Formats: sequence, C-alpha cells, structure tokens
Amino acid sequence: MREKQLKLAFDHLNIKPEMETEILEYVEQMEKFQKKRTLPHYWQRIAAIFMGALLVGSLLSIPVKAFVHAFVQERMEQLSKEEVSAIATTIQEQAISADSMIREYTLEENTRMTELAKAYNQGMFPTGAITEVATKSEAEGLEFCYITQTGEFYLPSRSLTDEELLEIIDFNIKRDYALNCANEELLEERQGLNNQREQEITKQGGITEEESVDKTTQYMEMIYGKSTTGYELNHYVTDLEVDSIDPYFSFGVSSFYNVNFSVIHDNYYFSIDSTDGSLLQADHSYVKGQNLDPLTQEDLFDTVNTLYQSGKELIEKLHPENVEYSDIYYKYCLDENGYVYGNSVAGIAVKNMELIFTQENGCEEILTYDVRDGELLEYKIVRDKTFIEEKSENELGYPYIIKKIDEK
Amino acid sequence: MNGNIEDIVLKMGNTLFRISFVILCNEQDAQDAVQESFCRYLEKTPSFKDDEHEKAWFIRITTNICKDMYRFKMRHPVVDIEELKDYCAAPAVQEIMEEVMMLPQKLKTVIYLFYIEGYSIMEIADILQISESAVKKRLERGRKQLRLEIEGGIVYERKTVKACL
Repeated sequence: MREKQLKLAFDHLNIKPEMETEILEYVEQMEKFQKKRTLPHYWQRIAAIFMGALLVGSLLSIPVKAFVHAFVQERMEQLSKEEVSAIATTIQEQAISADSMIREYTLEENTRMTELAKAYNQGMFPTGAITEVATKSEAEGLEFCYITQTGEFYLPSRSLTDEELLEIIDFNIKRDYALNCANEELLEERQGLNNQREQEITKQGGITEEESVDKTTQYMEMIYGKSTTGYELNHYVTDLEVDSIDPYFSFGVSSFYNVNFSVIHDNYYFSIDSTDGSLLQADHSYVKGQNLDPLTQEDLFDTVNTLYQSGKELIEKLHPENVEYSDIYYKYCLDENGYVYGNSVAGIAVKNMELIFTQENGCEEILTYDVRDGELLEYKIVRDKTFIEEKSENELGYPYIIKKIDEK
Repeated sequence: MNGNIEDIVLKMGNTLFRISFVILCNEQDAQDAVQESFCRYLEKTPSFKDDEHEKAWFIRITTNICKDMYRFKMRHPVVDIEELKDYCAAPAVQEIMEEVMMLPQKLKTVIYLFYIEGYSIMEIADILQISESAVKKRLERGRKQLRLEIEGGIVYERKTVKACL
C-alpha cells in the first residue's frame, strides 16, 4: 500500500449529509435545552440521550414509572379524549424537536416556578390557560402566548406573574400527558422490559425498585436535607450491559436503579446499587449567579477544611458501619491566571473542588463541591478504576493539582 | 475564536466523523461519538487561541470519547463491510480502508492522525497525551502491519520536513 493511496482512500470517507443534519439538529437541541436548564455535566449527557431519542422519534428513554400526583392525575383525566388527541396531534405535527422561549427565565422566576410546580402537584392550578396561536404574525400584540408553528413561548419583558407561570406548567404537563397517552403501547413495552430487569435483580437477591425509592427518600434527606413531598418521582433500571456506553458510570455494577425527584428547575438524581441499596451517585440541578469573583488558591485553602468536615460528616452518615479510608485527597485546577478553574455549564461557572476518600481496596468516593459557597454538587463512588490517577489534566490542558487533605 | 454551534458542527463534523469511524468501525457509534463531542463543547464552552487549537481540542475529546466507548463496550474492531461500501466507490479503496480499520485501535488512531490529518509526531503526542516515542513506535508498528510504502521518507515535523524514523 502506498501513502498516497491511503490518503486518497480516506477522501471517500465523508459524513453523509443526512447524518450531518441529524447531528446538527441534535446539538442545536442540546444547546436550546442547556439554555433552558442548568444541569450538572452528567445529567446534561443523560438529557442529551433523552433529546436524541426524541429526535429519532423514539420514546424509549422516557422513565417508565412517572409518579403523577393524585390532583394532577384527576385534572388530566378531566380532559376529553378529543382534547388529548388534539394536543398530541399538534405536537406530532410540529416540525421542531423542542419548545423554546424568546427569553430565558430570570433567576427569580426560576425559583418561583419551582415552588409553584410543587404547589401545582398539590392541587394549585391556574385559572386560565396560555393563549395558543398558530403563527408569529398572529402573536403580534400579544405579550404572553405560545406559537404552535415554531414552538415558541412569547414571554413579556416584565416578570411573569404566578398565574402565567402556572399556565406554563399546566401547558407542559398536559402535553406530557397527551404524549404518554399517544405512546401508551411503547411505554407499556418499556415498562414490561423494566419489570423484567427488576425481576432479574430480585431473583439474584437484589432489592426491589420500590425499596430503592424508599432508600433514596432517605438519601434526599441525608444529603440535601429535603423532603420529597411535592416532587415528581421517576424511577427505572439501567442495565449497563445494554443501556449505556457512558464511561461516567464506573460504579463497578452491572445494573442500578435511577431514582429522580423533579419539579421544574429543581431536580435531584440518584443512582442506587440494585444489590444492596447503597448510594452510587447523587446529583442535582442548580442555578447560580454569574459574574462572580475569581477564586485564588489561597481562598481555596481557606475553605478546604470546612468542606472536608462537611464531606466527612456526610460520608459517616452514608456509612454508619465506619469505613476505613487509607487516604483523603482534594483535587482542583488552576487556570492560566492562577485562579481556581471551574467548568462552565450553560455559561454559569462553578468552581469545582473534589474531595476524594480512598479505601484500601481502591474504591473511591468523590464529593464535588462548588468552593465559593460550599454547595455539594455531586457525590459518586468509583469502584472499577482509579479516579485519582485517571487524568493528569483537564480538557483545557490545566493540570490537576492533587493534595492530601492536610497539605496546603 | 468560538463561533456558533452550527458553524462549528459544519466545520468539524466531517473530521470528527472520520476519526470516530476509523476507531469505532461503526457508523452509528461514530455519529454518537461526534454528537457527544459537541455536547462536551457546549458543556465546557472552552476558548481557543485559533482554529488549529480548536481542531486539536475536538480531536482529543473525540478520540477520548471513542476510546471510552471502545473500552466500555469492549468492542473488537469488526468492520461492517456493508457500511464501508457506502463510502467507497471502488473495491480497492474499500480494501485499504478495511486494512486500516482492522488495525488495533492505538495504531490506527496514530496512523490516521499522521497520514490523513497530517499532524506531526509532536502534535499527535500532545493530542493523545502520550509520549513522542510512543507515537513513533505506534506509527512504525502500524506501517509494518499495513505494509505501507513511504514516499520520500517519514517526516517528523510536517511543517519543516525533516528526519526519518
């Protein structure tokens, strides 16, 4: 084989136009999605999988057990068959893969919406409904409406009222309900598959899905100090042999339960070991202000001990049996200006520091904090690789600095 | 340097697809890897010094994603002949591509970056985060396996044109 032949051969390997279009649609969808919601990195990937599934017309990624609150269920059941069918038809006829908004919600609106969504689940419904128009031209003169053709929410420049926020929540929930009704067969199939997986787990001595939910309710309280009342509950089994190729899941298990509590912008995600109900990972969405001051290494040193104490307390709560740790490290990056580097999610920066509790057997528990406010962003356990030695630098080439907890 | 996402997908999509396809030997997996790379971009919003820096970043991320996919599924390089036919006008072209894709993952990545993308050994070492001597060894082994005839010797520094292995 000659070098020139090799080069020429690869000139034929070009991405197919339809594939390029699919990728573009997918990525644009992701971009829109990220603008609407601020999720930690891993959940953006899960969201990506979900959005991707929607793009290819499949609903397989929809969690199979979505717990709908009784009040909401009753409200949805009051919709006539014609109404439900009309909503589903509208969605299916839309040439877009997701809705968008002409402006983002403000931080205050986001917070209020989360609270209102909890109240909605408890029976607080809007008195009216958002105006729906077919085209942009019909939206002229309206300050708050939904354009069916483009899937856009027209929002006023002023702050949205509680009624308007409730109308948006109601609109979205009705659409979800209509879609579920239209895809009942597919969801049933998915549910069947999930049940099979659960049966296999319990046959091998593992816990049931219901037990995993009970466990998660305790973890929610333990880690975030929150009750799950008012949250929508989703749960399903992930079989790593079949479902995921994401190397993020280094839990050293073959399957686990996903248990999520969500309400609009306030989402909590847990991965539970199906063999014994132990926590593999906990994550949550967060909304943080932008343009915060940079953080120096000295600032970080000032907070390390406090974060360590908080991490230690959490670890002790998670392992009342008193697990021995051979080493405890903290890990961070400095950017070219010497400031603590943090990744940026949808333009909102968090300044990460990881606390790594290492056991003799190589198992590592990693707690990721935002060092500015001490918020725990994520807990995860890594069993089948050494996280601490995984990479020497981050994706922008900033070297990781790893120190023992008592070292500055 | 960062443009809007559509421009970036159109600019980088083909390059990333090619390298993903070479590593993963599967069209659908390659598409997943490319999509994931752009998601990482959206997630990280990195700033780049210039186009080359941007390209190298994308290639590094994509090869890492491919490696992870490859490792995680413990895939073996089973080349789908039917898929390859879609991309090859002539059987001879298909044969060459098949040979490259049948190489072990480590070797074909280096071969691809060197011969197709035209990166220097130093640049490949930087992209793949391995030593220059590892790149040289992989190139040599890859060439041997491909029985590749080199035209005018091997160039270490593509820009300056020098030295043979």
